[in-house]
Amino acid sequence: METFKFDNHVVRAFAIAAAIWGLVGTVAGLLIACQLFYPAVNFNTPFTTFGRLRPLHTNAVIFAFVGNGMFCGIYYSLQRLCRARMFSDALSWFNFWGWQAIIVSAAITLPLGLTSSKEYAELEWPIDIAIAVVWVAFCINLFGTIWKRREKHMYVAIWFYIATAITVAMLHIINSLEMPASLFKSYSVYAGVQDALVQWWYGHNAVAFFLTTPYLGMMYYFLPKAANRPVFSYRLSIIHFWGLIFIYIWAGPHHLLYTALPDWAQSLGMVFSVMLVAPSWGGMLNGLLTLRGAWDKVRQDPMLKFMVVAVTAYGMATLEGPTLAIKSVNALSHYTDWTIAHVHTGALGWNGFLTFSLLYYLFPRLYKTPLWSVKLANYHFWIGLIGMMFYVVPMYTSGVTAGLMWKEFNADGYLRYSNFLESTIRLIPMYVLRAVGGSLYIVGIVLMMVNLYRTAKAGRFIGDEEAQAPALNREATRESTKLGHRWLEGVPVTFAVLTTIAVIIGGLIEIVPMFLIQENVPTIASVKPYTPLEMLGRDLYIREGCVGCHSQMIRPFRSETERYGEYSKVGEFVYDHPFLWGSKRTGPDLHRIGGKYPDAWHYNHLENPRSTSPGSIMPNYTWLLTQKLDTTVTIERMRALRKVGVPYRDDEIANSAKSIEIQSKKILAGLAAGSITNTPPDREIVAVIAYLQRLGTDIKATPATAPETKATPAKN
Amino acid sequence: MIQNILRHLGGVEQYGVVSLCLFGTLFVGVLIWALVQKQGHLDRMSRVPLDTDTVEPLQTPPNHE
Repeated sequence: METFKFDNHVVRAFAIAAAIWGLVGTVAGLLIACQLFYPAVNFNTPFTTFGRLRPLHTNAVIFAFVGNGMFCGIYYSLQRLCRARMFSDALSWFNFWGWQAIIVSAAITLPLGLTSSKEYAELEWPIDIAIAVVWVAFCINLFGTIWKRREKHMYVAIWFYIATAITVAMLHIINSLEMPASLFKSYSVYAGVQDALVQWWYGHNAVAFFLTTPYLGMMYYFLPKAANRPVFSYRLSIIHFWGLIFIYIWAGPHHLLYTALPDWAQSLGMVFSVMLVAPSWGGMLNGLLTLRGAWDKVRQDPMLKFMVVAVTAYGMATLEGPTLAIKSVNALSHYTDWTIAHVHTGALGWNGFLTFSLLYYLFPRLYKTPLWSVKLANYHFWIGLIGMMFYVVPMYTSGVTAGLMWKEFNADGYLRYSNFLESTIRLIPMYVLRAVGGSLYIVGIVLMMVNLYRTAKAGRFIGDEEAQAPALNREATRESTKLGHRWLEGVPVTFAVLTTIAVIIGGLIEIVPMFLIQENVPTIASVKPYTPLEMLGRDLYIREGCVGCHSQMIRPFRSETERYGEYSKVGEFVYDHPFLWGSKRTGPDLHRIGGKYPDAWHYNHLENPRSTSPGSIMPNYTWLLTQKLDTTVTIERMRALRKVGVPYRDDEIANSAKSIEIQSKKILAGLAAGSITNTPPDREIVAVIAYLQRLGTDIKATPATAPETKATPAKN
Repeated sequence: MIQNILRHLGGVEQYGVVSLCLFGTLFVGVLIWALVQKQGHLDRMSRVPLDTDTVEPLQTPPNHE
């Protein structure tokens, strides 16, 4: 028998961090939710405006709240499942403080507008490197602990942790490949459709392997613990695990249905998404059925209440996800609030409630005292649940309403709601209700924090908890030669390799076509790189997070071509590093905005959107009118873009200042034609207008030479 | 070189079918694998989280009400 100590210090640190960041992330969400019906609560500063705070909200919830919750649950359960202390205390603390430093740097850089604009991967390259380093430290600690375990077989929760560690590393590194132009500015090495494919391969699997697999592992540990009975079917958990990790990795293209992505890749993504229902529901049922005969405990224990709702929300979200991935449903739901409702069922229900459940479970055990108030925890449960309902139901209503309004034609064949604003205004009551729901959810978190604090005050923290277990006879482990799952559970390295192969196959088959597409992208001769001024304007568009509300991808539907113009072609995005297709239309699509309005319209609209579009909920971008355009970065940025494949010539780079001057004068002339004469040529607004006026106009230009290949219409 | 090979790979339209076959094979494999597991081992494994903890689950009666 060996005696050792579990490390509860780092578990507690992650638990506290999860609670605090949970509050920060949801408050940021509430602030931007309020801006959607009351734009003035951006306080008229760029740093607190929707476009910049939206990535802060998503990153805070995903990586800070769920990230810390995940580490907390893994560090607690892994030690107990392995009957061993974490491999290295130093690595545990490096993991903790490194992760917090990354979160703080995100909270500083995102409001400053330093962003790559790729959803859930917005952080700039130095932070990306830091994430990779901290993640590797976590992986070493995880595998080190598994290596020195005293329990021969790895329990199902550990398989999910292994899959998380390996896949997140792979996704993060591949999606974050970027060319630095300066310390806090880089360009994705991929362009247009390839960038979109890699981004959503990442984005979808970040949901899978950051928000789902670690939490499923935690479900498999904490649910049986709390119910004090084994998991319903261990056999089912084997099928659940392998089915889930193998299928998930293929489903990414469902984020790009009806876009310029090749049809076969869209269909592949759709089919695998639908198949995902099977393992997801297998896991959900396995969790719920674990409670068979123990439902009386759910009535008494708030921790189990949260867990049951979390697992149910997982079931709902994993049925809804595949439904949304069906092309005909997606045609209606995409770009609307339906997606927002879907992700919040997952975030508030699955991740949020499971994290709360975990914290209610851990604090009494870490502090060796009963929970301060079961009653207060029950209040939290009901307020949180009602808050969640008030959040998602209005968002479903809003999503379906917008989707239908955008597609409706009148008897004469014209769009019934030809002005996009008609749908925006119709949705505002839903946005108000959503903010009410979010507020209730936040009240619940505050109640939890009070309860946990009082519990901690009442008890005595055991930082190093003594435990005993017999040493593991490694020779005996190796002797087992049967190639069953039993054998696999005893050989972590082989297990990790098989897991890697399972996730790589899907990734490869999705990414190989990325190279193929490069050859098949129909070249459009008239599509040219952005001019230096337009490039700077595009960087400002990225800085302000315009992509959070405006797509640049017109799908081949009559309702969209009538509203926006010609549908978007693959060949139009070959110089877009990164792609800016977007995933949400709070405002209209902008791909064909170029030339649609005079320069002065854009000036007035950005200064005060309500002056040109009464009822608009877009914030005022007054700072663009006053801030001086930084042209000193032009050359380094053009060079960085050239390195990733944009064919800027030496003379174009050398003469960029002259080019900017000439084009700025043209914009100023355009403004003067609209009676705006007080703008100096060196303001940011000039670059933004230059970019907006360029958008989607290339294919309208007559090419100097005949096109090499004509753009082929999508089959959709 | 690898990039060059990949660029010239043909038959992209077969990828969907290939992936479905791959999945089918893997799924049937895992299914069989799971079914042939001995019940005794499965029972023992499912008890791992319950047996490894040194801390007994606490009753949580409210202590201030």
